Amino acid sequence: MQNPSFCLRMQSLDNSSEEIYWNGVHFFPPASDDALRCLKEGDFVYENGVVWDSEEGVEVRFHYNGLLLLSLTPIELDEAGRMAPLSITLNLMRLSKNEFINNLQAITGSLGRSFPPGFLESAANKVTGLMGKGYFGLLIRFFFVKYFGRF
Amino acid sequence: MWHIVFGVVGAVAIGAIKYFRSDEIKLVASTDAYKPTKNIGAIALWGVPNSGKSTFIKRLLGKSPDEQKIQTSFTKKYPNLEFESDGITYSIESIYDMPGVETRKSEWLEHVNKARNSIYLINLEKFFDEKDSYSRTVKQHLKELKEALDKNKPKNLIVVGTHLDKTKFSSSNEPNNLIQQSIQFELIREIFHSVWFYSVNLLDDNSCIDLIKSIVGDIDAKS
Repeated sequence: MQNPSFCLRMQSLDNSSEEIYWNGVHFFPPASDDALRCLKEGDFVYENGVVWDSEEGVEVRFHYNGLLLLSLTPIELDEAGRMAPLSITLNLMRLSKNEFINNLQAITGSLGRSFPPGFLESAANKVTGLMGKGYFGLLIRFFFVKYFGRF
Repeated sequence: MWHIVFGVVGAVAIGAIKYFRSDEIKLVASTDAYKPTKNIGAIALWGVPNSGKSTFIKRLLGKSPDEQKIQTSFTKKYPNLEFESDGITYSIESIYDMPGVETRKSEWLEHVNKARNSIYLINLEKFFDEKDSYSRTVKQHLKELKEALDKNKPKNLIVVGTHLDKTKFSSSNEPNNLIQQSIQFELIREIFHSVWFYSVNLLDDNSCIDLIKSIVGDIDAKS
């Protein structure tokens, strides 16, 4: 089943300029409307969102409209030896914690990328802490992080 | 009554002193900081992943390349980027560091339409590897670039070959000429009969200084 509230995007490791799009269950072509929406939503949060949490290999950005951008850096490097992060865009208002955690756990099996032990659990905790807060809860957090640097 | 008059006169006097002093300071400061800046317009920068776009921008900013590199996932915009070359300060109206993936191609071509200059980066190591499909991708990009440039009034196009250190031309004194005489370069000449071409090792300080000097020299000469 396709879930429009979750989308993962990553570049190929051979630097061939191809990208892989995945919604937690299916892969979809980069030229599709779903891929375009995924790209645009990710760009929007990257430009207009605030960094909620960041540590080595993981960064969480969100916007008060509910969109969240999670960047995860797997162990695998590209053919030039560069780190190759995955970008996950999700909607905090629509996606349930269980759906999110299931999708995150499926990354290693479906995409062939691996992470250090405990990495995904730690990343999941950073995101689930923002889930279920509602529009007003996100707005307050967004405001404090944007203007005071922390919540 | 006299209290009010003295108060108003005093306030006006203090205000006037502050105004003239601050103006004086501004004048001195602006004279000290004054440097002629040449605006070279916007630059549309592009190339297949790992062609050196991020490192090129870092070099313009006067920074050294990162030890551990990372794929670029999102477009980073640099408005009014200033850099120095030969003691002159140049200003680029805008330059974007975009991921070189196919889904960003339309964004790049949009920037080509708006920008006065285009710089296309080619990873020479891959370009001269005949087994690779890299050349086909470059050819396709250059064709689309030509179409975009032909629609607009004349603009500057510079092709830069990066990763020179990983090619057989690295030890040559004139790598640019040798590369342009190579069979592989015909692929570029088929599309652009004449083009400004430079090769560079972006990890080497002197090579980068020469590249930037050549680029601004060409743009200056044409403007």
